[in-house]
Amino acid sequence: MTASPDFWKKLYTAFDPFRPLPANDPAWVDCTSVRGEEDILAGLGLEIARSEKVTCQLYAGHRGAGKSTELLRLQDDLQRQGFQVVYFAADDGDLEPENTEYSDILLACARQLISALRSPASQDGKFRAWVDRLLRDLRDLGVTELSLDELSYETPETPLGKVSTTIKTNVSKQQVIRRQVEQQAESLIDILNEFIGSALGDRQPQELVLIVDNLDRIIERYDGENQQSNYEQIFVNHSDQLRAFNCHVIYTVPISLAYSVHLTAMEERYKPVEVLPMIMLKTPQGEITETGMAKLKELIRQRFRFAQSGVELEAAFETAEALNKLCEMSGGHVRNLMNLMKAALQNTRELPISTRSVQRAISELRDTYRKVIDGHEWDALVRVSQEKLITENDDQFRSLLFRRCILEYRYIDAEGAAQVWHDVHPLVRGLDGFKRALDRHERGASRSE
Amino acid sequence: MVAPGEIDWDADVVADPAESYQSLVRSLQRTEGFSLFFVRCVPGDQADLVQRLQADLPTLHMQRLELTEELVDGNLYQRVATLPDFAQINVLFISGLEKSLDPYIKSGYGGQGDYYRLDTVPRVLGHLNLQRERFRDDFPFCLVFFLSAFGIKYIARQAPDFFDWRSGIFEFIPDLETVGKLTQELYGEYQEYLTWSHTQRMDRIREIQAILEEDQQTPNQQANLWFEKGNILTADGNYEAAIASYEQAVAIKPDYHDAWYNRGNALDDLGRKEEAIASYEQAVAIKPDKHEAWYNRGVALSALGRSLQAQGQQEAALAKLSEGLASYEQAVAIKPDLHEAWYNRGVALSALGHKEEAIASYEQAIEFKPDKHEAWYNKACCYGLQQNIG
Repeated sequence: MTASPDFWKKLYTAFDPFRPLPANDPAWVDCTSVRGEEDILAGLGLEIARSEKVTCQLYAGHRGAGKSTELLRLQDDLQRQGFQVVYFAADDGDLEPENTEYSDILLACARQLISALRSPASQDGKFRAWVDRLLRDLRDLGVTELSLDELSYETPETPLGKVSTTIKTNVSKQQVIRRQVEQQAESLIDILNEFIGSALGDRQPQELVLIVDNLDRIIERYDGENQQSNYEQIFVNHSDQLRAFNCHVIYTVPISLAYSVHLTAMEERYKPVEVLPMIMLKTPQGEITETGMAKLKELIRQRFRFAQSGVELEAAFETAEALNKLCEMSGGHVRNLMNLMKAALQNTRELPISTRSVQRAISELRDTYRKVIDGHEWDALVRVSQEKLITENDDQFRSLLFRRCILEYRYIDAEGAAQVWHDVHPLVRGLDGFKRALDRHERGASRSE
Repeated sequence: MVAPGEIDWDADVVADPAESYQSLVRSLQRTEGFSLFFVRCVPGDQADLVQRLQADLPTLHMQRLELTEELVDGNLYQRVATLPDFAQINVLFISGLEKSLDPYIKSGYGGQGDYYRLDTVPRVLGHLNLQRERFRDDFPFCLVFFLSAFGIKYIARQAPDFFDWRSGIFEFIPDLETVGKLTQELYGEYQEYLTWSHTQRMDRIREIQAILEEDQQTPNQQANLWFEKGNILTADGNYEAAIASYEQAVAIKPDYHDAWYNRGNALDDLGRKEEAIASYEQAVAIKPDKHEAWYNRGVALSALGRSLQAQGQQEAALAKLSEGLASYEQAVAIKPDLHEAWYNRGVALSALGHKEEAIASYEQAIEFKPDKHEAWYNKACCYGLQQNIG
């Protein structure tokens, strides 16, 4: 059977790796049971719904695990419960791409809150006054790039946007402006909170939720050995300010931050970071779990349906083994599953997808892991593959988690307790460097016996 | 263990170029709206590939965006958004992104660049990582990035979120012969590097970096490329980085005496005399008749001797001066007309108190270079000290 070009376009598009599913999308698959009962509605959501006071929570997970999809679900769920939710995904309009700092986040949040809540005119003057003061102080410090006359006050967030832009474009004055914004952060937050209060009218601040997505997009950097990372500078050193908004806030953070010694030391400030784990398709002992496998197949099947392809999942693959291996090699990572499917489809002229097409897809994705691992990291990876755990607070493991070479899984044990464990990405096992290190390790182990 | 007839899923299958090409064609054909593709190939093959794709997919409007220099603001989005016939584009091929990547790659692990340096992110990649939603929402066409192996690796590490949104990655790996030819083209002359601008030098370093990491690269060529890179960095005055490059070269090819010698020179330029001397010694251990290394070793030893003298450490100073003298003697034994060595030998002898021999050495220098006035002058001084004026 020769399929039409339109058939292929629909099917191919169904596996696009760059579209978080909107809330209530039929392609969404409930994976709670294979993510160790991690459910954003029961975790972050319930915390917000039950709390008497406003909360500040951090949400982490591997890149491409489905965080944005889950946050959109949470937004929808909270809105149904009557909360007002301001969701924004920070981009390069908000953050300085090379070195984001706290002040960038503050200004971005302020801008988003103001424009989402629509300013009552009475409050505009206060933001204006704050910016005026900032500019006066900056002028005294020799920063003349921002001038009062040029600022337009069309909307109250415009001048804040101008400050952000200047931080980004004026590298030489960047630090001076940031320090000044930080110095005046408290008063900006005060004005903002007052503004929130009047914008909400009769409603309580606990009925407003701000979700800041994409903060895990900031590239982690260290200014030197044993220094705090830029993330720690933001989330640890500025925790007071980050928690000072008079509304519930959720910030996304990279998974590596969940294992930061500096952050875990602050548990009385933030609740433990909520982590979205991988879909568990193997036990720590390495046996395939049918439930996990079934979920991964369900994810693919839903997309076949979405494409109205009329093709049954099992019939789309030459062998059942090819489909199983494709799922297994994703490591339970949703975007990797999409990557593998997309590659298998582009290697295929006509369905069914051949074993060789799947093998090529796996090899291609494996190669991307080869590109991000350094020669000195193999031994650490072998250790994780055997111990199924990472050493907490170790920068090397944190960095490997960040690069998804190590994945995090979670299950509920017989006693009902959540167990977190780690493993190397299944694609890493096929890399020569890993095989050699494993071989060395095993020979070393047998010699010592 | 994999039983016969079973598939080893941990083993790689390599697609041949025809298969990769067909997959790329199908991807472009089947895409609707935005998508990102990364195509690894050498610059010389890009035009052919575009032509072939256009011939095979005539209904798609294809355009090229060739970045010929660094994007100073790092904003690729802006460059794409302002393309003249933006509205017609179905496929946009982008090449030259490497020009905006940091050329100062520190030597890393296993002979590879240390891309994962945690202290810097090239601006263009920082932007891309944060811009991906805007790319998706505003560019309803295929973006195909042409990159070297090095460029893809760089993006995978430093713009991981952007890279993660790719719909496909296609590799057209050049064969042994092509890699050999492209490598040859990057061998140059130090004298010429000196006449280049900083930008020219950095561009060449990026080209070297790109070919250095090709799959079909041979260790010998790799060592040569590291050596070239070291020379360009030396010409640029970046001695630290040059030393690291020479070290990569000798790590691959331990008997690379030119690399040891040039490493010595770079160390010497930084004032690290002892290390420079050790490096020259490596060079002459491999090639005992390398008179330049003997000579430069002598110069470095003499300089050490003089500074010890200035610190009042007479005994240590004399030892260094004697070693230096021996080194000059090795140089002139190999190359008797090396007047600089004769001259410096004279200086060393004179410092050690051997005036007669010093005079003879200056005379040798003058014989090979009659206008060497310093030698005439020093010779006169020696006579003066011996009270032999007139």
